[in-house]
Amino acid sequence: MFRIIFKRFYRNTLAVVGLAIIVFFAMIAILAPFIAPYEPTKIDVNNVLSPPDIRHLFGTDELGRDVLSRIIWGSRASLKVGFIAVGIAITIGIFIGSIAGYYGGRVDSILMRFVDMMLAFPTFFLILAVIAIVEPSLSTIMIVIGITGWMDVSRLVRAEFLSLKEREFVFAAKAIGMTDWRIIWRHILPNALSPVFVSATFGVAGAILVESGLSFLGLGVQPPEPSWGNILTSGKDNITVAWWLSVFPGLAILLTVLSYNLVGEGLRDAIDPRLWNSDE
Amino acid sequence: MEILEVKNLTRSFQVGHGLWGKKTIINAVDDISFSVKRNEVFALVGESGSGKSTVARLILRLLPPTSGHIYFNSTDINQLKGQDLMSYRRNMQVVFQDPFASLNPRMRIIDTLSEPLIVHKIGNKEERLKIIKEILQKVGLSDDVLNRYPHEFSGGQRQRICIARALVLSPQFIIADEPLSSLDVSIQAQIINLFVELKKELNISLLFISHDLSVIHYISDRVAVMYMGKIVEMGNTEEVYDEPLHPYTRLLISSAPKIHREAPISSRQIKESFDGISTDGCAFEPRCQFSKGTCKTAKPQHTTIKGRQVACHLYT
Repeated sequence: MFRIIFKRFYRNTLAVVGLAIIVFFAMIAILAPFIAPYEPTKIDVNNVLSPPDIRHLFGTDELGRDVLSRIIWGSRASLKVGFIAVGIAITIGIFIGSIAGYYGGRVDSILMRFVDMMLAFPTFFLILAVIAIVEPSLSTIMIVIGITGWMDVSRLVRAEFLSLKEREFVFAAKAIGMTDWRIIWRHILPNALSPVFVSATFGVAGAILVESGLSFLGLGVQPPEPSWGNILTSGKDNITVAWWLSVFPGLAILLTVLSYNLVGEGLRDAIDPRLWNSDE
Repeated sequence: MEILEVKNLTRSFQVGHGLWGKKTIINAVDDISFSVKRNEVFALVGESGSGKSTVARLILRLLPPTSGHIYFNSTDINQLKGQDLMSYRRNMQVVFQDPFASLNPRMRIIDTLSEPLIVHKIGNKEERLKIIKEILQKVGLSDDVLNRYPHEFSGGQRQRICIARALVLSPQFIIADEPLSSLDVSIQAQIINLFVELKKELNISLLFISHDLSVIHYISDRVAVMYMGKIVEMGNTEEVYDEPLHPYTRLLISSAPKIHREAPISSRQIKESFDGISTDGCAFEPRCQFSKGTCKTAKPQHTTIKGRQVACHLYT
């Protein structure tokens, strides 16, 4: 089964390009200390807002810091937020979705009404409200994005559980006398995960966007720590004189988010068994 | 000696619900009683929707009954808890209809087969492997299936694996819920012979559920014919097969394909829709060619004729 998914995914050129870009940015983030030409926080007052040249490929900002180095280091913030926030969201979503789907009935109704309630909040403003109370930092954003983003996952998992728990291998497992926990964990969940992976890929893109937005508003990663969002903030202040301050971090965000979305779509099509028989 | 006794078992389902929707209660299993003796093959036969599989699920305690009791070795299974329930589960195993849905697609065969032993804390790793290899041999599979996944097997092989899973706990009783229906005819013969051999060799009792009369004729000692949740006729398989008493049994037997066949008994066209079926009279009345006045107004009671139980107004 995985081989078919693999094959189908690889036939999707855009998705493979997306995957390549994701890997590229991941390498940059991991190798940041070795490939960044300058310290990302090093101020150089003699070189303020200098346009791209051979010494500073992406130019410098209003404090003379190297924009390329800041983007390279900033990719760490984006990837961290993307993965950890989605990790938190998936964990909560799987937990709530499994319980609602497996036990059904009243438990399901109560949990799903709670999900509806959470969905009724405009997420971004909820995050703003939380950040107004607690101190903004990278870990705060990750946690807040995580606990406001699990609802879709829980719905997906619940739907999978509702259909899987009527399958005969689950009945057989019950007839053997397995605990509910074992049935959920060993028998149903592994079969329910494919749509979650797809949703998670889109989730990473969303989380990166939210992080950039928050940092742009000054509520995310706090300067001098670099993040793509807060580089854009200084870009906004100097947009008439220094285009490079807006364009490069903007491109980085665009490329990353686009890649995750392409990979997500590729995965979704590759996993969907309704599309398998047509050409296999 | 009875190993399994089912007494006045009823299970109803609510259909059509919602905030203001009209509630309709359907009795999938309606006041049925039967018993299975040790080492006996007892068959339940009936068309789809007659409640056969619901009976299986009730006996497996996958569903609670609405009323009635199920006794296994004289203990009420719905009273069992903890250790006693586990020992019941160990002794009552099941083989399902669809061998493609009854194996977890993400587990290797060795994991599927060792899991029952792990759950019941039987043996260590080597002992479990020994048990599994013995069982595989009994169901006619070789050891090299162990590290493969279910999708690598054909339907017949999967059904053998399902039977092996039911056997690893060495149960006293196996429920086979339409174990042949999704297999090719040639494979059906192999699997049914496997059941016959296993039954002889391992001293297990079998509840065999099927809609295929020739299969039931071949394998079972006694048979109960179900129609719309009720048992309409029950007796020794040979006798029921040779001289069916209830009109529904006659219809079933005459409609089964045979080489030397007489003209089939005609069944009247079913006119009524599902909710048009009279709740007062006999459920089979709309299709019955012998329908008479009392059939519409009174439910037939079980009577014993020629050592058989029949629920039909023709015999009262």
